[in-house]
Amino acid sequence: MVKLSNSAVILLDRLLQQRGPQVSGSWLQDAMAAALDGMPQYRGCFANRGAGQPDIKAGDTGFEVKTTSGSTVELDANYRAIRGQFTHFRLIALRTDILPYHLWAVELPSDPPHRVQLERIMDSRTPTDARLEEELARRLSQVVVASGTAWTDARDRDTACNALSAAVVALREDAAAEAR
Amino acid sequence: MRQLHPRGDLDMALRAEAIELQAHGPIGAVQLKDLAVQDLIVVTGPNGAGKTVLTQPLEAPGSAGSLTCIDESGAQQEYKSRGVQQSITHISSTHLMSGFRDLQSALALAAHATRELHGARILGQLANTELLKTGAAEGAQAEPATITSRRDAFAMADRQCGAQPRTLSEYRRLGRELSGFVGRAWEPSDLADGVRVPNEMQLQPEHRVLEGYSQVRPALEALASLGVPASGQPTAADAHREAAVVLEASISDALKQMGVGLGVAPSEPLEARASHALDALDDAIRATDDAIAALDMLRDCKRRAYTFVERQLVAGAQCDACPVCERPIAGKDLKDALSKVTQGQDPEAAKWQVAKKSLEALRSALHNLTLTHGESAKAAQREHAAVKGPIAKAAVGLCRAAGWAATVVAATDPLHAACDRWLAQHGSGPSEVASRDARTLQSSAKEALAQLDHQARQLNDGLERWQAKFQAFQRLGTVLAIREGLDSVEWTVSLDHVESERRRQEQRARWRGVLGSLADEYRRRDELAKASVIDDPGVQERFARLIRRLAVSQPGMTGLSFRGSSVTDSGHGRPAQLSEGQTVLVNIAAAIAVAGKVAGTAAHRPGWITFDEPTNGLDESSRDAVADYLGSITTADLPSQIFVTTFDVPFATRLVAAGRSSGRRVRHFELPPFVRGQPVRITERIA
Repeated sequence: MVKLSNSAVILLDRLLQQRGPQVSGSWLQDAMAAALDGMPQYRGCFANRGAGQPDIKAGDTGFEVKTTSGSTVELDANYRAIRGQFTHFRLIALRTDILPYHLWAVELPSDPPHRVQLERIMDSRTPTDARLEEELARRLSQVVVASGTAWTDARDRDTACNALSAAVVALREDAAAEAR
Repeated sequence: MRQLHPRGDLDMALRAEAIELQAHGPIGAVQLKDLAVQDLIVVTGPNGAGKTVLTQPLEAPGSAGSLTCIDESGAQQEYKSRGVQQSITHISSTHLMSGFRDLQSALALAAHATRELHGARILGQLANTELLKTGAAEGAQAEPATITSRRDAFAMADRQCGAQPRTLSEYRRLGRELSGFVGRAWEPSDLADGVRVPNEMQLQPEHRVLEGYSQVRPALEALASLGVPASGQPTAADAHREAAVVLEASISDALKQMGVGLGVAPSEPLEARASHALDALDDAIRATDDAIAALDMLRDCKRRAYTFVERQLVAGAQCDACPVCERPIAGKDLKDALSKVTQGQDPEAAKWQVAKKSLEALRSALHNLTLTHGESAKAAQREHAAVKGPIAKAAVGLCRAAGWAATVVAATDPLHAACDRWLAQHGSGPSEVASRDARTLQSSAKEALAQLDHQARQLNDGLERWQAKFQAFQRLGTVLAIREGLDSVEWTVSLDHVESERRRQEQRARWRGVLGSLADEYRRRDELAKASVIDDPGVQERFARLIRRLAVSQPGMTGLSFRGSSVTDSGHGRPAQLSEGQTVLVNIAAAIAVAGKVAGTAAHRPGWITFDEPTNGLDESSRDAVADYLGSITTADLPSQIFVTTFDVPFATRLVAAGRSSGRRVRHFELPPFVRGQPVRITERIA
């Protein structure tokens, strides 16, 4: 469990207030994919923009992105069905009922439970990947603040994705400059 | 839902049999016995004697004392108040004096109404208590004030950035580009406003100038507009030179025709030589005139001679030879000669005439050419002057100054040298070369102007674009600075705290639901109870009967009716206006009307009613009216015991008398003044 940067939380909160949980959830999926794409091990991952599962595919790893206004995430039967198709399956959950928002990267077992309880100390069946959490929270914060209101206030999802793409490019330049 | 008072608890109406105060009570051990067979029990005593304490077990038996009751089967039992009957069994002076509203509340208790209402009110208060509100607990998720205050500013600044990525690399890239444009070194600095803003301002693109260009431009413009004809067009100097050539040729031609020399050196100015030629022509013309005159004279002489000879011949004189020239003259020749002299033209003279005309034409032409030459000389002078002035000024204006742009220097230095050269070479007077050089100077100045204008334009080419870029740069810097400030604020929340608070709130919500539904049930019962008691037709009828009885002694009270929450004057349809005494009487009637409804019913066990100091504040006549009225209440009016406590002995005496005269069983107890430490000895007054 990690929290996002303050400025990223303000922007995500703005998105949630303006678009509502449904739309902001799908837009967050794009941002999450952009953040994962910046991580070498998930480079080339892509978001499944349809209603299918999982939300993001990265090789043999599937990601499900959920925003929740409580401490639990319900998992329907589909997850148990689709879990077997991936070596790793992670639930990325963002709690929006508390400020600042908190993020969990939960490793779902082969036989996922019906419900995942998002706690400070997680159930042993649904442990978190602390390294992934830290890295993802950092990159998600970066992507969100780099795209800013160009993303949160975009007129539609495609425009929002364009803002994310521009931010990803700029962030890569940042990283390259730092490496130099 | 649980039945609050199962019918099994409430069997029959009770009658008070014995009151027993505990020894440790306020006035010590006191006992009143054999009360159940009495209808009216009056207790008198001075203030502070303990009358209210004595009757307190009738309202709420407890630590002060107990009350033994007898039910209708004759069985004795200890009365246990449930806290619901107090007001109906205990009507205080305050109730009696304060109008009907409070009394109504008391009366409603008779049918559990107030009990239910009280319960509903308590439950409602509980449900709305701060402890049960479902709002977020204070401090559970408190957003730091520094973040709250910057939220809007951050969003607004971020919106200004449009589609631009909000990254440090973008900020640096823009800074580098601007640095190249404005020609100033720049390094990204600390984003704090005090450092960032001045650092950014160094890169503000401003309108730029070619140093020195504004100073040399007037000189260049003057040179570019020199008064020389365009290339291909003849200059005044050219015209002057051509005029001189023509004049020179004309002089030569004239001299040649005259066959004379000029008489002046060829080095003399053309004007002087022309003047000499004109003079020579004048001389030649005059000589020709003389020759023509001589020939005319000669011809006249010949005519005269021939005429003379002819006359001589006609006269017959022999004349073989001319007397003038002595040449032989034949007669025929003479006639022909004479004819030639008199009638024909003189070829010689004609030749001289032609010569003269030729000379005159030459002179005229030479004269005109001399004038033309003179005019062209003046025109050339004017042209020269028009060029020389600007060139001289330009030579001054083009003097280089320190700090001038290199391009300006490179463009103007050659021009400056050319001006100086022109002035040195051609400053003395006009010439074809001077004009040509001036034209060259003009052309060069035009080129320099065009070149420098182009460079000046290029210098500010895209300035607006750069200024827009600078604004984007500044906006980005602002966003990054705000963001840095926001992210440096410590903003944490205890997840455990949030969870426990959430659970507490869920519990509170559940409690609110339970209490709310309980309160609703109580309110519903209350409405039913009110309707069953206060709006009961029997109560209304009983009240009307009691009021009619009052009307005998209190005229004007017959139109009163009791319904709902007030007594109204049915004759006028408005709340009745009553005196204090009348109010007490009406309230006693109302109390008895309601008590009569409930007394002896299973729902209301106590079969007694207590009036505590009913005459407080009343004058003597009102007091008597109350005593008479209360004493006149019969068991038909109220099948219950009536307890009256009062300090007013005359009132009590009158009440006891009235009660006995109404056929009621009456006892009158008297309490002595209370003395701490001494036992209270109650005495009974026997009529």
